[in-house]
Amino acid sequence: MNEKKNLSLNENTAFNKRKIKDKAAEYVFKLGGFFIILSIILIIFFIGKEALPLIKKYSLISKDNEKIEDIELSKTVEFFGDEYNNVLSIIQSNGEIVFYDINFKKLISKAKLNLIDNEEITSVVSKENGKKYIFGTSTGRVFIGTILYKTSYTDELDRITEPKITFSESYQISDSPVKHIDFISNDEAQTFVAIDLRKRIRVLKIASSNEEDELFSSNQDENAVAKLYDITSDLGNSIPTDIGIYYNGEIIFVSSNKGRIHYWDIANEIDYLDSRRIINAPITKIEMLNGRQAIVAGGEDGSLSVLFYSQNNIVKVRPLIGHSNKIVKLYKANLKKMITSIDESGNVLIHSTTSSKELLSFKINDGFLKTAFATKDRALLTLDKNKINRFNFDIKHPETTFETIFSKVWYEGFDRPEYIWQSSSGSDEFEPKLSLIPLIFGTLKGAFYAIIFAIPIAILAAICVSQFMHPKLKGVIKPIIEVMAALPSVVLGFLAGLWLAPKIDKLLLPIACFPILLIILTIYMPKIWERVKHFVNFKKEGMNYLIIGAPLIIIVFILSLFIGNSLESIFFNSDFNAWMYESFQIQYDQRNALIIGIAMGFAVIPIIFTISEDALSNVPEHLISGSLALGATKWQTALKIVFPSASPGIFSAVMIGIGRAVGETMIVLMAAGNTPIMDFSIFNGFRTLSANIAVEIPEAPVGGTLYRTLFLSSFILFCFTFIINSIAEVIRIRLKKKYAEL
Amino acid sequence: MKKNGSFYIWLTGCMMALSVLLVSGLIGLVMYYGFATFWQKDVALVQLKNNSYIIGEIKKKEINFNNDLTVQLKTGNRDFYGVDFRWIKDSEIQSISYDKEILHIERDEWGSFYGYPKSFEHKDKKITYNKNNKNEFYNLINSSLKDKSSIAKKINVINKKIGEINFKLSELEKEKRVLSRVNLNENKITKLDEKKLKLLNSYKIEEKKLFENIQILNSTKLVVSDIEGATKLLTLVNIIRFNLPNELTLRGKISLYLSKIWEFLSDKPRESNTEGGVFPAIFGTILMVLIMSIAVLPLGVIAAVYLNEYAKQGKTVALIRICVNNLAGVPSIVFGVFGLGFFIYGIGGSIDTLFYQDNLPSPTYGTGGILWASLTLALLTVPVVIVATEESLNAVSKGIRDGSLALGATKWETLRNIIIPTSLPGILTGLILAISRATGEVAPLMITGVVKLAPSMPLDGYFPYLHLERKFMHLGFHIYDVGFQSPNSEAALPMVFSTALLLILIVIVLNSSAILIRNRLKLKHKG
Amino acid sequence: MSKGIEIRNLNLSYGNSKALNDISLDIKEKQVTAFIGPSGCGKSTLLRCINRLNDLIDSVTMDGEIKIDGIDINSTGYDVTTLRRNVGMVFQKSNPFPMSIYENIAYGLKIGGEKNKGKIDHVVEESLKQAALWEEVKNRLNDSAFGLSGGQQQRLCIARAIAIEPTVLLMDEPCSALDPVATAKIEELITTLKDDFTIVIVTHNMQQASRVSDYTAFLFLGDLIEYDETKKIFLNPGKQQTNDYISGRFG
Repeated sequence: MNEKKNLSLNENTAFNKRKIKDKAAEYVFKLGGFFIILSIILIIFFIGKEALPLIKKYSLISKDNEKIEDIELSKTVEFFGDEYNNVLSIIQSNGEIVFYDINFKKLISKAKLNLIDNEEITSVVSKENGKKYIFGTSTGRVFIGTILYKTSYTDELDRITEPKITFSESYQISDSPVKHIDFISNDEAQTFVAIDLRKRIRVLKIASSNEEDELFSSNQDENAVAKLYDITSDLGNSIPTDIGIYYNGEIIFVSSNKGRIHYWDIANEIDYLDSRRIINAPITKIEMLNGRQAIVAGGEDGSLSVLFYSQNNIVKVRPLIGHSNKIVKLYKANLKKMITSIDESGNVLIHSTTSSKELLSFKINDGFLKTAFATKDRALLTLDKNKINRFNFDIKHPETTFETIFSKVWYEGFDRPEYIWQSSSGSDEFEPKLSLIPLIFGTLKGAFYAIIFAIPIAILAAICVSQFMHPKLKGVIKPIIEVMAALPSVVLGFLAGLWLAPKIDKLLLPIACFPILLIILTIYMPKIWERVKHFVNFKKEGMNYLIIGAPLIIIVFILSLFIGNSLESIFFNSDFNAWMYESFQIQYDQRNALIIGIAMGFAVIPIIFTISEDALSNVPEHLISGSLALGATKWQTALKIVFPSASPGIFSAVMIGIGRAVGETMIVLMAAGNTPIMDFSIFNGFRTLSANIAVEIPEAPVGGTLYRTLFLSSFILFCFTFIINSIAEVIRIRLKKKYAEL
Repeated sequence: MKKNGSFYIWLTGCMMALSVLLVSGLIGLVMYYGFATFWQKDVALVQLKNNSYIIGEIKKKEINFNNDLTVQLKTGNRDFYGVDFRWIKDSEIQSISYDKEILHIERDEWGSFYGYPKSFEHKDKKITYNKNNKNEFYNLINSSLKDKSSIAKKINVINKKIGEINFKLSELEKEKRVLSRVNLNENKITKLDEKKLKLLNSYKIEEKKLFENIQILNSTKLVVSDIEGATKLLTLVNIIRFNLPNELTLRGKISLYLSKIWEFLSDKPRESNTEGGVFPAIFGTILMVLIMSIAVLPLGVIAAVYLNEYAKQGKTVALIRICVNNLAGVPSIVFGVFGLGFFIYGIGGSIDTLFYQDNLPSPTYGTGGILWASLTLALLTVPVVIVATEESLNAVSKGIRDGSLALGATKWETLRNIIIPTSLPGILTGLILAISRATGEVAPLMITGVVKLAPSMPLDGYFPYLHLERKFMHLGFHIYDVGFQSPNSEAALPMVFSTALLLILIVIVLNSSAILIRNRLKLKHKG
Repeated sequence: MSKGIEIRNLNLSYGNSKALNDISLDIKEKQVTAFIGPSGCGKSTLLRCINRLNDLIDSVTMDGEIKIDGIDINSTGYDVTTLRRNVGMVFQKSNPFPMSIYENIAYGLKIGGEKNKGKIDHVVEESLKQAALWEEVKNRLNDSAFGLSGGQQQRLCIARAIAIEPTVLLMDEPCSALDPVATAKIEELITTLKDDFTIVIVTHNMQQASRVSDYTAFLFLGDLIEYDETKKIFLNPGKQQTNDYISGRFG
């Protein structure tokens, strides 16, 4: 042994292998560990990122223009685009409808409305999503044009659209040129409403027969009843400025230069209902929103107002701010609740009508002749002398702002602002109501009831186990209580919803009696123990609570069932729940906060118990001995020395318990009734953020507003629990330090 | 009284006792109902005062809102009555007896049948039932059931072949689509068509065989009648099991009980998850847990080793530790949302566009599946593993570390030979706790790939054997689904209890073993 | 080239507090050198510099030179694991690995790449004999090392350290956790081991130092106060401080 060792650098290859392995391991662990921690951070960023577009600012994506050849654009009355922005329909004043293909930059075809000499088209509107054009002429006639688009594909898979327009018979609505025209068709009638050059308002109702074709029959007189009304006088001195028709075709609105809106019921004959002053300036434009329950009115002063019509009343709900010049055009969006407004200086603003947030603003070039809003809500088109300009945008989430998520919003069909969560309904024209407040309320309510059930039981049990129990017994009892933590919450939820809820529904009063009787029992416990303790020999401290206490608790429980039932049949006619409802209007839902409190309590008790017990047990021995040595009783020591010392730990335990209660999903899903209402009563249900996510996200379209709002709620949940847990952890570490110093 | 505070001490004692009662009460409740599900009770023949009769198992007795005592009977025979259960007032009952002739049949559809046998025809024997040929009658049925099981095996084989053929057919279709997209030569396509023809032919042959076998089963006919005399024809296909409930001895009942428990654990569900077994859910849960463990173990251990052994200890590392700990407290649904957005729509969507274009717009990986669900749960439980691993790494004394290094071992060698092996029990504890958590979690799984009834298992006999994109069943979700989304919740309730019992038992066993290992560890390291 | 350990101008600080001040001394080959001094004066720190265990502590800054066999052990490019194979260490509290007695000793060899079981068996036996433990454990080599008494465990650690044939053996208060009988055994061991190894022992037990060592260095508050043959230090110390310490006036 002990040959001379060479201390110089070793060239042994086996040795190098070891070095390489060591270095490799180092890289693996460093990279791996770093990667793991990064991915944990990734989670929160990803969730936040998915939620962010909700509050993103929008801007124009692009602007482009195409030259339009062969068309005398100065003669254009109006123009419209088709669904795919391929075909423009340019309505010329001479009755020509020019169909122009934007992509191929050429004329497709022309159609001609049968006008008399010198008759010109003076107004046109597009109705039924671009399926019908309603024309008003200089001689006071009106026509309906119905358009069919035939699409076919070339060999190169390019789309060719061929429009075909068929015109109806004309109707005489006035003897003076039609300046504004509106139209609606329903099962009962087809109704035209027009304002002519002489400021008269005419309504023409043509009662429908079954076949729409009959409208196109040659002889107007053969048709069933066509009635013409003149309602100008209802306006008094005011001058009408624009027309709107309610979605069911039964109410018409006319705005005036005195800032008022007048409305009539046209379901049977025409009855003037009333008028409301909206603004102090002339109203220049009114537009019915998609869904037609809301109206937007634009004024000469640049004001925009969102109005709801309900029960023969118009209510001004909110203003949309941004313009200072006269509003000349309003366009509703077809798919979302947005309104585009253009003022006379060419400023364009797009607002959300639910949240009144300004979504986009831009300016269109001077010298524009006409404008049109693209059907899929993605572009504004303008026509100037020889070209068509397109302003492209994509507003993905107009419905949400910080306000709509967190404060009260006045939704269509309601009479005042509310906090509502209702993400969808059957109809297409539904206004999504995405306030998170009812859900946050539900989350806190659930956590609250769970905590008040759990805290007394858990903390008092922890005090018992840590202070008044023999270590061996503690070694048995502690794991038993901690088993509760392992129970899957789906089992707790199922028991709560399917077993507990029906039972408590029938046994509410007896269950309410139980705590009271339990306290009474506890008062007499010491006396009972005095008598009994001579007969039993419990070697380990704490056994008495279990062996004597447990059976007595069971007896008290049975007793309270008995007493409760008797009370119920004597005083409350055997139905306490009904009595509550009749006397106090308190509704009892089978699945409610009481059930959740108990079920979530099961989940939260072991957490608070374990951490509190740890904190209480770790109070340094010498403090306790010191107190006892001074002659204090065990209880005094526990109350005055141990508990205060451990209180940061207990506080930390409660925080973690709250965190758990806030995040619980399955129990709530199965036993909370799952309706997003805001009510403090313990007897009805609620919906929490977490249960809401579980229920809604499978059906939410990827990237849509609902989807992102659910990500936002996940983000909120994450942050909330993270912060609570961090506070708890910091407190716990401080406590450890404190104990170490003692 | 106040000074020695005995009232308060007893208050704490009572709360402790209450907690223990709550735990044991809950577990006891689940055990009681869970175990009772499979016990065959006597079937009562109830004569009502209006002289009509009802047969059924007496399930519960309750006082309804009119203060009448009512009895719930499980009458079965849903195809006869429309419902499985009936409530009758105790006051309407004239007498109850337990007729030994009552026959109970478990069927493949319409649930249980309670009634009387009329005649039985099998192969070439036909017996009309009367009190005297009882034994002969039932012996014949028993032997026919044995025949059924061998035919059932044949049918299984045929079904498997049919499944293979279908699979090959769909692969062929895919190939054709790919080829036609790339516009290759006609030759290949004709070859494929030839193959397809061959497959279709063998399909027809197998189908015929299947049909023949089912015909055989259908040729056995059992005619039964219910208490009111309405008759029904049942064939071997319908009969799963039969017994004479009131004639069973204790031994008989026990063996029936055990066989039903075996069916519960090994068979597929029937009757929209209200009867049969939960084997696919057990299998799905185990498979998912396995995949999750493969992901979480290296992730957790590497991260813990990094934090404890390689990272510079200081405020940053302490902060990271707090973050990791807190992650354990984040609601599980948040992880589910992340799994949905990032794994499924994000990565899964990209995988689909890159590798599974032919299947689009039907998503392959761009929708929930066992892979994504397992990864989501791995992320959820990784903090548990990290904390447990760090705890055990820390417990390895500094002296031993220094000793190894002083002998000239590299850091990696010290880790590999001394530190990690010593920490293994602790790492195992962490893994077990992670598994226990994963078995019980449902919320994140609901949105990442668990379904009520999976059309096929994620592990089967066809390449690549492990289909990570398939959806699967899970015990916890099963409880939620059967309990709350079942059309027939009364009938489903016993099954839910049994499934809940199974789940609780698994979780308790896992947790207890983790605690035991941890305690053993503490003793070992005292040396 | 001088064999043995040459320490020149060694300074070391833990963060801002200075632990070693300009230490210079030569440790003689195949002799026993003792470091003595009151608690906290830097003895263990100095010892741990020799096998660079202080590298594991982040807050340590060091400058100066330590040469073993003429080679600067702190030079970059000089591999620390090679150093540690050559400089063995026995710790204050015995630290057997949670393995069998055999495995504990075989560990160092296996790490080094030794696969030949026969060779390993031979080395295990030799080391245990040299550590005076063989007779007591030869029949239970596969038992857990934790089954040994405190003194036996420490001898096991010595056997483990010498199994890889270092030239230097560092011992950091090896007997402080042992009873007088075990201590005597270890001291006896040291006197036989010095035939094969250069031994540096840190001890706070002056009698032990005078019994066991050939040279003694007295350190106080990070300074090397005196270094000389043991006989001279204990009978006729040069410095007043040394005298005070040895006669028990402080420390």
